[in-house]
Amino acid sequence: MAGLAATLGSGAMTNSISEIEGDDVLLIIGSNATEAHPIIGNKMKRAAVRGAKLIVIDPRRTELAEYAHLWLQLKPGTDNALTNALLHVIISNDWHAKEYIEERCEGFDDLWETVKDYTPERSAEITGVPADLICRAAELYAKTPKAGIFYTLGITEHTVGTANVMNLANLGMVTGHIGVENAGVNPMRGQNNVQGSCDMGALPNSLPGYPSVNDEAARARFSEAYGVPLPEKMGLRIPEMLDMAVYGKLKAMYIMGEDPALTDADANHVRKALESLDFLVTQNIFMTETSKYADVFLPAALYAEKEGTFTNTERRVQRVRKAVEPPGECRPDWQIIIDLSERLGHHMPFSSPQEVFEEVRRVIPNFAGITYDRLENEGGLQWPCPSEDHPGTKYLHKGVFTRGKGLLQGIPFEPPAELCDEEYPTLLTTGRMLYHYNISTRISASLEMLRPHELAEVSPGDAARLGFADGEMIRVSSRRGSITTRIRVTDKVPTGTIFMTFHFKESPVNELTNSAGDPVTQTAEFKVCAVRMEKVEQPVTI
Amino acid sequence: MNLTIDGRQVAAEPGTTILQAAKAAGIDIPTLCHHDTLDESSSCRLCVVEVEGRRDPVTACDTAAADGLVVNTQTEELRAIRQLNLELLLSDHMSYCTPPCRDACPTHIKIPDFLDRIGERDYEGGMRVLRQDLPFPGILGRVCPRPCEGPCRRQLVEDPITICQLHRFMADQTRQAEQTGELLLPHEIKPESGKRIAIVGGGPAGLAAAFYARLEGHAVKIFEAMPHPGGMLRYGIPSYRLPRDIIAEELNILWRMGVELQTGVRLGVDFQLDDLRAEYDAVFLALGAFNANAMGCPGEDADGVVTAVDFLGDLELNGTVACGKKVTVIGGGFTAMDACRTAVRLGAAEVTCLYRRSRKEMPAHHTEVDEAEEEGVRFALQVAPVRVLTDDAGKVHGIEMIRMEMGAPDASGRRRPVRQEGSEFVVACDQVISAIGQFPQLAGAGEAEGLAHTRWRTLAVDDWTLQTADPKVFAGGDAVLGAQTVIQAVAQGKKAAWSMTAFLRGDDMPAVSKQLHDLRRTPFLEALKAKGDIDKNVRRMAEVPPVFIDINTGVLEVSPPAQMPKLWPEDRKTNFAQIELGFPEDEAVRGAQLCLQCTCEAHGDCELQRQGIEYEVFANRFQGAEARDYEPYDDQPLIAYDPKRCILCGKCVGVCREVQVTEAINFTQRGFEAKVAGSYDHALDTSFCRFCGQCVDMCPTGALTNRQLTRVKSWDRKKVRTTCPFCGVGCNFDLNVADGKVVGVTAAYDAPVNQGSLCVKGRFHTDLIDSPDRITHPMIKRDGVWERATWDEALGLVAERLLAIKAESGPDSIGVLSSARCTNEENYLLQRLTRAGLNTNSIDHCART
Repeated sequence: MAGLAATLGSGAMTNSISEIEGDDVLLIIGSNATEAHPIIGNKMKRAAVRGAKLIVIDPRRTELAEYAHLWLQLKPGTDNALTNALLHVIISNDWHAKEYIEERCEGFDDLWETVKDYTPERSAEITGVPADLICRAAELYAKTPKAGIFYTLGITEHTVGTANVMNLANLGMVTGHIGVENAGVNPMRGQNNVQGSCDMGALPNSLPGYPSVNDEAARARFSEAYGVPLPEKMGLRIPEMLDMAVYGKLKAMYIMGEDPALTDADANHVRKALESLDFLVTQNIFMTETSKYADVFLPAALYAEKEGTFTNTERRVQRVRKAVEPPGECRPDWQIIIDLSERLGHHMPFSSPQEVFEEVRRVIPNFAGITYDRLENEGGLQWPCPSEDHPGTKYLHKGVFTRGKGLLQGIPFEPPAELCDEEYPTLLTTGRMLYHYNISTRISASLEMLRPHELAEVSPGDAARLGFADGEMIRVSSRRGSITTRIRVTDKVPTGTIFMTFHFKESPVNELTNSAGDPVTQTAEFKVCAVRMEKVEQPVTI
Repeated sequence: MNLTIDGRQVAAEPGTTILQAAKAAGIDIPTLCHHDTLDESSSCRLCVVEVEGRRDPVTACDTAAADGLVVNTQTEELRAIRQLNLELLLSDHMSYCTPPCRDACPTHIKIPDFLDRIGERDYEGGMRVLRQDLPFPGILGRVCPRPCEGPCRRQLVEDPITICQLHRFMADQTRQAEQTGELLLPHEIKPESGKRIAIVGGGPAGLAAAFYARLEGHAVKIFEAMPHPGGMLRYGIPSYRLPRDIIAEELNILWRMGVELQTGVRLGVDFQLDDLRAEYDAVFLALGAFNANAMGCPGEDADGVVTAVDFLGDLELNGTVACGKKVTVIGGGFTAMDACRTAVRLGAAEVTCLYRRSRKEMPAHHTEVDEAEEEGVRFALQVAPVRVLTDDAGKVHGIEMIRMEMGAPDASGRRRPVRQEGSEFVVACDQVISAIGQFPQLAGAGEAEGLAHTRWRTLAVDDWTLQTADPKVFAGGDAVLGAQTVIQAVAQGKKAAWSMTAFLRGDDMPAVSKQLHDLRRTPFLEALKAKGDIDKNVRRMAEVPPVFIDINTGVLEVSPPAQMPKLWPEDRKTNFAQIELGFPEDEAVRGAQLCLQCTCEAHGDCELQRQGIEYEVFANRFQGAEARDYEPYDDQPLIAYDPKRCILCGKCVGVCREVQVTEAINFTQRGFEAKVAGSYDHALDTSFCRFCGQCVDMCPTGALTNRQLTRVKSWDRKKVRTTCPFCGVGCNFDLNVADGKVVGVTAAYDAPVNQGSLCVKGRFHTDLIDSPDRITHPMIKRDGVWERATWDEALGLVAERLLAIKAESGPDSIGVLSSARCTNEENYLLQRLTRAGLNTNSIDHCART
């Protein structure tokens, strides 16, 4: 998101989910939508059936790859080399949108300076994708007016995540595919309300609605609204908090609804950080791995037990409605926060989520036109929605970028932080799977029944070489940890790569992953690390 | 573009079909295979319409609307075509909506359900199901006239299931263990309500009322006039049919539940209604019908003439009763048979039963009549008494009878017998037992006590609530119905208990009565939907009669019902030993498994059912036609698939292919053998199916059902629209709520993002909401051990420690993690707390991509 905010001025899916079926070309990179965003995945498959051409860029032969017109099977962590080659082919063939660039963008020369060296042949060596395929993909994407880019964590969970995103924005801008219907650059947000958490200012660097904490005018506005001067110093990002905890500088943490001990990279490091804290509060619906290190546990209501709103990946604000009472003494998070704030000496004058939302409307101009009444009558509304007579915004950057001029920047390719070597010869990449969502769905007996354990994907070549059988338990080790997992032998993954999900605490893949972070967002490199696979002699049951 | 539909001008967009144009104009054309999101298959052919200028009707779903078209959707010919097509669909739809046996049972026992439990040898579970409606299966299993067996659909191919004997079997299997072990109640006794109920009369109505009133948590006391409880069960039914230890054991359950009993006290003699009004919150009068009707002929006071009520009652009270050598019994009901057969057992050399109509019109169950005949009872039919003949001492020596012939039908529809003058004849006898009906003894419950009577000498009550003129006093059983069957009395007792519960919690009883009256008059399918707004027990008092569609049985091999072995006539006619010996277990299980299970999870939600009722497919000309017999796919707990119910509309296949682009299911075979199935005809599993559940949404029958949802009937589920809490797509769906719990999810086809589609998580996740793993109270860890705390303690400690750390090490020594799973409002509040309350910007959450 930081990548799009920097280049376009707004970090969100530029276009809407309903436009997907109208696209003629879908360039899908680092996204296993049929598993991670199933309903979007369906729409992509429907588009393909209707005749749209899918360009799928993924190391794994995903379901979408089966539907693809072109499948570019790149090596994990080489996205920028590929994007640069696409840009190189487009510009050197004069397929770029010269008027659009002239009128709406800046930095084109800087971009060319970088990509001019990335010939398809050179990129083919880095990425493993044949030069011919790169050229065909570039031509198809550039020459089709209704061509959208779709990406998810396969792009961002890298040490070069932000750079990857900026480069996709380059691709969209150079071809004039941003600010028009059935196109755009579309990050599909992972969790139900990631978009909303960011919009609401649950970020160390920006206030609600994205003004920087360094923006004095914005800070003054919020200080007035809250009746206290707000801090100016940039806050800590999660990996920094964990590092500071280990150094003893961070003494206390308050963790609402997250489980970093299971979901963050390099779990051993996370646990060490949590152990170092003087005081830890977790507010959650279940006793999580993280809660084991806590001093106080606050039981929260879950979504079916409270009122509120979520904002989806296409900026659509939608209602969450209370269906049942919370069990026992559980309380909705909003009540807990208001009560705690009172005890911390900061009074918050709200008695319902609707009243909170009224303040959100007042302080975030893009939300000013959204009301609970409208959400009741009109269903969801997509921000920006600046006034009550505004219908909401289907796609962003129409006519002009939010930022003003779209920023084109040359992004040189940098390899992943950790590369394979003799000791750790296999690439581990991680992701999600249809039957579970992060970790909480395992509580559902129905979903657990469908997929009770990890099934790591190993190629037939590796399986034959190492003597693994389908369904067998193997050991996977990295420089940071060692776990066991059941495997499925499948040609979905290329030889030399293993794929695992992070849903199963019995096979905690984040013991292995690399916490080396993106320099801008500190998002860890979940997608690439070097591991070693070994046969487990004694059968292990999980 | 304009066209005329049913005489109305209708505007339509180019490219729409007649069906779409009609729908947009609010004109309903029936269809089972159309869905807006799918390509048309026009397979059901219900949407046929007439288009002027075309010779034959066309299907509206795939005929384009055109300018100037004149369309008729409702004509006699179309109705006939639709009816024929429905008959064809139903001829190969092997599943029945709702069980006729249950409707025929006065107390509406869940018969297919308990038979299913017997089939699985789960007798305790079966007893709990049964006792939802009948507390005493051991008793009723021996004496019930079994109205349930009359409409049993098994009779379309064989004899009916022996339902009555099978529930006795279940009671036999469990009785020993239950006498000392856990009571097999339908649910735990509810918390004490603090209300007290007096029940006058310890017969079947009073005992059943006590059982159901106690289950609702009321304190209950029974006042019984006779020395022992049971009423007609004990003082009317001989022990060869109903052994007394069975009565004692089944009633023992009541006493163990805490019901009080006082015997030997008679209303109007030993206590008055006012005494009960003063001490109890409600009173139930279940006085029975112990007065015998008089024959109304000369000589009936003679020595040697006795009523069957006295004859049987005295035998029970005294252990013996005077019995003649040549006995005549007047009457053809259960009591007459009991008197005949008791006289046989007491040593009468000759017993003759005299009845004024034909044998098949006798009110007694035909097996009773057959058994009496086997024991030597002779029958003289279509005869009526003229006078009793006595000797000089006033002792009976015969009875003069007259032959009857059948005249015109009377009000009940039965032909009225008329005397055939001149046909008089004499039957010699030394005892006459009259068994020609009974009426209630209403002493102590008359107008003086504020109660009204009917012209049939019964207590007047509200038909729906059983409330008398005094709001506190309810009445039921024979005192209200006149002498009727045991099962009707039980039904009235249950109903009275539920009605009194409504009264005791303060319901407006005239309004309840009106509501039930209205519900009973609402068309069946609308009545089902209306039920959701009424308390479960109260609405069942309306006894909405279902509509039965004529559907094939699908039974390919016939097999006789289980028959309970009994004593031979020679072995039984000299003693009072129980005649029916009970089932061997395997035979009972086999008999129960013959049940066609005429129930369907989709009942009330089923489009085929709705159209079947709408088009009155009550007699199907394809009954008995060849049918496909498939086993249900029964091996995962999310989606149930029963191909026997499938009508091959193709919507599930269409949605799987066109909307979910998954192709987990498709048509297999061709022609009559065609079936929807997964790859290689395997059951649905994750190798092809993604468990999105959208096929279930599409199914117009109960072939595909969502097992989470079918645990609660659709009319009991309230829907709450919300947004999915998993990935960032933001699908909408409806949480289905029943009894304060989320029971599952239904799709929202007007949702802006997903248009009704869901993935497996959105569709099936809801069991995590009610997970036992939820932590439901705040906790504080002290010395490494979690301890339960109050909110005040927990939040107080959090505030104290955070403020202390902030004071000591500065605001930036605190970090806050917000959550992408929580709402906007909560994220907003937490950042405000962090910035304004803790004075740091160190708030983050785990995705910034």
